[in-house]
Amino acid sequence: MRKIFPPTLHLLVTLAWLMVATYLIFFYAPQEATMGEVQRIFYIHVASAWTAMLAYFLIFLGSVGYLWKRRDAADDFAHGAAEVGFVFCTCVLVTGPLWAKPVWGIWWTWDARLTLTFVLWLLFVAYLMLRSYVINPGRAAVLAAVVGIMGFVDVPIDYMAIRWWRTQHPQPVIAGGEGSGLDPRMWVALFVTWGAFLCLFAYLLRQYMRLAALRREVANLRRLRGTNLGT
Amino acid sequence: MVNVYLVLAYGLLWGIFTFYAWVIQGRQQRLEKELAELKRMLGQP
Repeated sequence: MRKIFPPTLHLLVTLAWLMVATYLIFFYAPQEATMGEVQRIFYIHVASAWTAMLAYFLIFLGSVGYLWKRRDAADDFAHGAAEVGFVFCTCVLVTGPLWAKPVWGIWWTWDARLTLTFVLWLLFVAYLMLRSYVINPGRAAVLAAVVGIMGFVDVPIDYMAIRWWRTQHPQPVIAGGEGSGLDPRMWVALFVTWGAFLCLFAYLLRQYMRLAALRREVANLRRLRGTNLGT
Repeated sequence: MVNVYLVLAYGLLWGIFTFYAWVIQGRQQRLEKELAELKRMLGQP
């Protein structure tokens, strides 16, 4: 992977993609009729939310993989997805209220969608805190995997919340059935932005995997040094 | 007229990712330094 698609090239592609997305959001996508300029938050808000949900799905896959095969790589993958997913989920909770205030007149309300997204953020926090507080690495990996698997229940409920219940959060404009939909130029801007965010997610996850590999190498050498000092 | 909420949303998004990239880079650099030091102590190349 490092030879075919080196990290520097990955970073350059990500930055270029983000620039194209920014251009499309501000100069290509039309202005929304009722909300005006502030509606352009939609592109980063939705793309961050989808990426955060995907991140939790990856935690789920990594956790299942770890409990099944007990491979460190699966655990590192789940841990990395949790760390980067936490960043994206934070972006959802930051951009959401900044969009809500001028449109709804309130920063926050405890409706089903908002509450479940906050719960998702808390699940990321719980996963990462567990990793930090349990000293034994093997035990931390197993406990975190359990949180990763059980917490995944929140993701489909969060996604379906605006379809199942009446919420302050808008009803779905994508895959929302009859009467929903977007201007084709808005679709393009949204999917290009999501693509750029996925590319950024993959880049940050790669950086985390490199960090995890370094951490394991350092731990091995520390053990070796301890053994050498002991003899 | 620039929309303050829009600027804040994009500014904070940029800030959050820049901060995270800076944190992860710092952690990598500290570990690389420690790794080099350990290798030197153990006489490894």
